[in-house]
Amino acid sequence: MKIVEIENLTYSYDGKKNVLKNVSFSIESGKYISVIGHNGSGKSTLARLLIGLLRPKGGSIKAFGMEYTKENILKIRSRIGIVFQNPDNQFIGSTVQDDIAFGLENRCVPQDKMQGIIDEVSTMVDMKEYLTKEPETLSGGQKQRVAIAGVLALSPDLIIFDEATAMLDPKGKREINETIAKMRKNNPELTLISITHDIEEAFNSDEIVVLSKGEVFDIGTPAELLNKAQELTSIGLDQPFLYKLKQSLKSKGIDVSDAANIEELVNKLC
Amino acid sequence: MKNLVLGRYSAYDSFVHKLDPRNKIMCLVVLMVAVFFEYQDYSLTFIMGGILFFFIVILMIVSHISFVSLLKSLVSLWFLILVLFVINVLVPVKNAESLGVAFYIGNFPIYLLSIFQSLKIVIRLILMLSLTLVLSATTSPLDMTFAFEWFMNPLKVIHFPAHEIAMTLSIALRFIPTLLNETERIMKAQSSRGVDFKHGKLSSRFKAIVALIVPLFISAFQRSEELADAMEARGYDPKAKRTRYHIFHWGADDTYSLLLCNILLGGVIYVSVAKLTLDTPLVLPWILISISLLITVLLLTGIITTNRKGREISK
Amino acid sequence: MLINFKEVYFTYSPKTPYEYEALKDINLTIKEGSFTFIVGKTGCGKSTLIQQMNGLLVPSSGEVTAGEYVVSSDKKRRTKKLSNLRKEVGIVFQFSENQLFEDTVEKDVAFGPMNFGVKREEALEIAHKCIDSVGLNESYYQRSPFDLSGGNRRRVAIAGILALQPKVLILDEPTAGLDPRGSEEIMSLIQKMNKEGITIVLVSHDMNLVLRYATDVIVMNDGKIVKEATPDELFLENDEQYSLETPLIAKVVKAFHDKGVNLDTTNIRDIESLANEIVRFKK
Repeated sequence: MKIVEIENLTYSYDGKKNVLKNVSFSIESGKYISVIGHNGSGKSTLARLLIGLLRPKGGSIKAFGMEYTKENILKIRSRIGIVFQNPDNQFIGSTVQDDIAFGLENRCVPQDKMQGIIDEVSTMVDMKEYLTKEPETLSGGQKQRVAIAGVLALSPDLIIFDEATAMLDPKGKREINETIAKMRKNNPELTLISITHDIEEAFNSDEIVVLSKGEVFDIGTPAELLNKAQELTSIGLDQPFLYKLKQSLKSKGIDVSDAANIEELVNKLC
Repeated sequence: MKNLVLGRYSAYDSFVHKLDPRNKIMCLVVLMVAVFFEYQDYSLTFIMGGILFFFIVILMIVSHISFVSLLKSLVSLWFLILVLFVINVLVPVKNAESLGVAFYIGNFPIYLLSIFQSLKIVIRLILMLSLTLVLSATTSPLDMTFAFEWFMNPLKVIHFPAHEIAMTLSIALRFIPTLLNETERIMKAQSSRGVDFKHGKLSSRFKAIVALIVPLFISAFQRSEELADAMEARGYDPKAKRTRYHIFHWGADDTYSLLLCNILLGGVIYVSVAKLTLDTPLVLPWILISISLLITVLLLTGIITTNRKGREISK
Repeated sequence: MLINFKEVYFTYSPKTPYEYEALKDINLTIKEGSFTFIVGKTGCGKSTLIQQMNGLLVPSSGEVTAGEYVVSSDKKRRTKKLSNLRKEVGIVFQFSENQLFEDTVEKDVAFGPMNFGVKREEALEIAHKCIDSVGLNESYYQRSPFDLSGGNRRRVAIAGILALQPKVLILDEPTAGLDPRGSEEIMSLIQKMNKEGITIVLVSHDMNLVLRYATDVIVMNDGKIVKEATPDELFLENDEQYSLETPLIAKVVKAFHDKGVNLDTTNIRDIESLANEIVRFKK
């Protein structure tokens, strides 16, 4: 089932320069999609359009079969969660539990049901012991996990990560990626869109959408995109480490292109 | 600035901490009113002030507030207290001569009445200060905003945006530490570019402030924009109906404590309005009874808190 | 300019409930002309350490010497006007793009030198040179820094410190939040400055950068220095990892090692040199 359908989507902030031009693609339910592209390629604008914070200037978006009309927007938003880049600027409550409760309060969840949900989602992201902590005592990775818990509390069908790990240290990044893996295992129905410039992270997803200067440059599985690596380089995108190493070896006369990871590569060479 | 300890909320699990914040604010108002009554003579004024202070001391013990913090806030106000005292001693009051002259500074007479009058003002100041200290140390800022919203609820009829104001206040409180960190960071960054925030000519000082304020405002605006997006994405609509995660629990403790404060106020009003003096029969027994009542309360709350083990909620 | 730490301790908010010892017994020399990386977990004291180097923070005990400047806990030994040290040792803080405030790029970059008494015309001249050297051209001089992209704003911020013409440049996470191309550009810029003779001290979480650029690495943990090494000693020879992330290149070298193959690690810095070394082994 197609959960998101985007057709000829165009957006401009000032009415002159299009940040997104004729973007079309669709997302199957239960998939993990990465959107990559360098800074200024329109990635974050796409996220804001998907959650309905911005309205398209041309073309259309549909989510769950619904158009983004004024009447539908709240219904659509109630099924989409988003985690933004800056851990500080999306922490609304004064403690962890208050922050998770914020979305529940907005959705008019009865008060007696809240604690159960908060306990469940905070356990899910390993923040159960921190419920009464204030944000300034938490690390960036912990704050982002709280943001994920706040999103999970509303049991969405689609979660967007808008460069959610970009401001974190390696430990924080690892924590978030582990949490995402756990979420997918617990709920295979969940659809994820990860907007990122971490190339190793993107190549772990089911499908990659490559944006360049506001246009879709390419869409494909990680394996398909690796075949066009030259073109990716031409728009200033990096390739995964293993691929670059294999390419470098190939140019020096050693072909190990079928190695899927570092161990296999070394086994083939020894 | 981050290390400001005075009047700061400290998370304990005491009897006073657990009271409903609405009740605590009401009790504060009641006790503040009690502080401001006039009595027939000064000895009674000081005795009543003493009783109120005794009561506040009990509150402080029960709610784990150290006297050091009270002393510190008094020390930080010593100059104000001194000025108040001196001015009141020097300014002539009505019937100043009635109690006679205490001493002379040169040829200038200092009347006993003026000294008493000034002492009264200083005592009231100290009482008010310690009352506010008890409230702010036992009530989290967030609870305070919730209580504020509740008190403002009746005004919603005339479209007073009580909820919006309370939400704004709670977000502002939430971001104070973040913005303090930001300020420190920008100050350090500009110091590294040779800005001297402490010394220098007026013009260079002005430039230093600009170099701090402009980046601070830009980042604050950016923060608020991102925050607004995050709130909207999570379904926030200030006009829409919302449920509440925090709900107030008005318990029996709240009723008792509010009653107690009102009894105290009642006693104060009686002593004041009935124009009692120390020579009036039954005044001394009344004071003795109220003191023993307070001691009983102290013992009782002491027992309650030890049973509940006032454990510190560690940060 | 040589920076030297002698038994430096530093405590935040001493004698309050918030007292916190951030540096413990630091003895350290930053070599002239080196490209030194400081690494370690968040909260290990890296940021506190770099602030001692230009006198923003003064040791609680012990002393830091930078050239002829003495930043000592002992007031009598301390250099009188420490603010001049900031001209010699420049710090570019994390997310430095947030410190811009003037209405044009050139004025913002000239702000630093003018604070140190350089005349306006001369300061602008220096500013132009520095804007050019961070890879922006003349067309940027009159633009508002707030209209630039995040990456270019960071370049302007770096130019603002370069304009002080420091002998040592300290950068805290200069690539944080930039896309791969942006960080690549910033890093080669920094390397260029290092080649021109500026000593570079860089705080980073990215171990791939450490392996690629560092001449010296200082590993911190819990306010102490736990290891001083060259990058290949740290990642490629040593088994102990000081709970640092392992660079992917080091993972390959380790996988070879586990197979009983020891590659010559002295020259391995990036993918190209790793591939060369593998080719050499195959022959």
